[in-house]
Amino acid sequence: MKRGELIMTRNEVFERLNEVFRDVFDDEDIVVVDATTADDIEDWDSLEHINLVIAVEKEFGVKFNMGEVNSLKNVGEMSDLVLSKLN
Amino acid sequence: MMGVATIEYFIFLIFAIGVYYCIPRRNQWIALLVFSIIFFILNSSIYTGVYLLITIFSVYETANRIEIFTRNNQPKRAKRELVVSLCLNLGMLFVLKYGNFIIDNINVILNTFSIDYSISNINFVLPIGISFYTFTAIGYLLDCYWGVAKSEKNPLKTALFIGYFPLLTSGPITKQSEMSSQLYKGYEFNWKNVTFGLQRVLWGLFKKLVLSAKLAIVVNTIYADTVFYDGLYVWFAAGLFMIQLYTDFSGCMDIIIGTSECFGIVLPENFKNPFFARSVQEFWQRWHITLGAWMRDYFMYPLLKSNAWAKLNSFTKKRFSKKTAKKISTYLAMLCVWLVIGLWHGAEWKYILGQGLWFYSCIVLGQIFEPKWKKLHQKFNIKTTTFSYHLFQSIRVFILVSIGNMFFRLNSIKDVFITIKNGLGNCNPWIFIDGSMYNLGLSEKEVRYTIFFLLISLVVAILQEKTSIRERIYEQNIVYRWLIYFALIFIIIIFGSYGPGYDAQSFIYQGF
Repeated sequence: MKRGELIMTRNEVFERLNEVFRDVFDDEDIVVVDATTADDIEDWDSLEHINLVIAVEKEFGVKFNMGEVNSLKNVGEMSDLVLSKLN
Repeated sequence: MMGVATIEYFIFLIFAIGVYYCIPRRNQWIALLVFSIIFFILNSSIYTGVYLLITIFSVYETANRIEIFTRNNQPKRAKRELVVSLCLNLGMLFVLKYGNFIIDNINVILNTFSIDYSISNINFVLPIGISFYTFTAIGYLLDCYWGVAKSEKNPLKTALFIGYFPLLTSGPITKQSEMSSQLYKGYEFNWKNVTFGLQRVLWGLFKKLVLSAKLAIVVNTIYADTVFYDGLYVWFAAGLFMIQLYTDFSGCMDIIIGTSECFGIVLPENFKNPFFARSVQEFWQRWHITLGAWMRDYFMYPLLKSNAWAKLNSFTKKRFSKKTAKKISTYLAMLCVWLVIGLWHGAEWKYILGQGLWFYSCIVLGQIFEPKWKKLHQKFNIKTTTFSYHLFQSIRVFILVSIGNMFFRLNSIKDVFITIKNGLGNCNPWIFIDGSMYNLGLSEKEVRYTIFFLLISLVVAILQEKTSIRERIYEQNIVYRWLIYFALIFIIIIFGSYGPGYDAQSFIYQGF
């Protein structure tokens, strides 16, 4: 049961993350997956990265420290990080 | 003084490599520390070593204390340690490098108000590489505070990380996470590492002694008298200086990264063919990469995530549309970043304007006009993916950065404006065909082979974008391989600039 719950939660996090991405990058067609990186989204540069992080923090009511912000490599890691903060 | 483009340095390097691979692997890092001390003493006034020692030991102490306080769940005390150490190290950099800049400006203000009092300048001698090692040290402290890096328990190992001698000339600015795994572990002698390293050193010497040194002569001749050398001479010199600066700085980096490679330690790259960039923004992602990355990770991100910035954001969001609010926030943050980059280059207004505000304006205007450009492309059906369009973009970038670097090369903002005025005052395209080019300090023969060698390095750069040339050379058979090395050595010996009247040990970026 626990496992099932976790998967649900991760999917939920992903869904909400997707909304944040669409909102930040102003593009309703964005669909993020685990492996999505800055290379896959045209406007995702170093400045937008921080806007994205702030938007994610707001959406989930969590706080990332600077080390975490600098080390995020893809959306999968981002959702894992959010999950670890929520649980 | 023993600059890295001198024969003394080369002898030092060969000796160091010999010792390094003769001693047990576990002691190799100690040898590197000893070489670093020797290098520092040979290149910097010995008493300036005190500044370096203060940085090393304050950073060592702070990093360890931060770790203890964080482990004991005392974030406030960890923060206090961090702030104290940052103030100490930044304060030292600030006083040593910017003290006179501030005094001069106070004097100007006093003068404006007709106050008959002036503060006299202080004569500080700066330790070599202070701007570079201070940034490396600050990055390390912040990484410890953010929990990204583990603090180093051995003070001597911390000393090597901050004072590792290849980095003392002009960086690159390193991260502890990349260096600690490499610096101390020791290496078996590896023929490929050493030949690759020396090869890279040779390539750097070629760029510095054969290209940069020759271009400098022409640039100096023109800029010495822009009343006589007016019109297109001025713009020609601006472009040449850009290439001179690139071959000088990136050549220095090749020597440094090659040196380190000889010891088995891979340093981060600082250049990625910047002249192929399509925009000024991309240029800075390919030029002095480690400074840009440092600014992003340790200045811009923390700034944007700070409480003050959050307040600013909520303030602008109430008054403007979401898009505009975001733009105000990012452009303001970028302004702060570029002002710091300008100031980092030197304590003069010309750097703040030429290295800071000029590039900032180019990037921001580029972003603002991007949608308009796109519309224009659609209207006239211009294909932006073609080679010709890329060439157009790269030339545009080259012109913009060349203008910015006129501030770098010339003595003051006033000089830049006088030079630009002289440059606009005459149209003389014939100077390129009537032999005038041979009267700029280089003989006809020298001009020809400098052009030839520039073309060679252009070809190398184009190949580099696609493949690793070094691996390709390494795959060749021994005769062909050595032919290339010997050719390069002879070119450097025959065509390089040495001897009295040429100061091979000074690199443009060395004073920082």
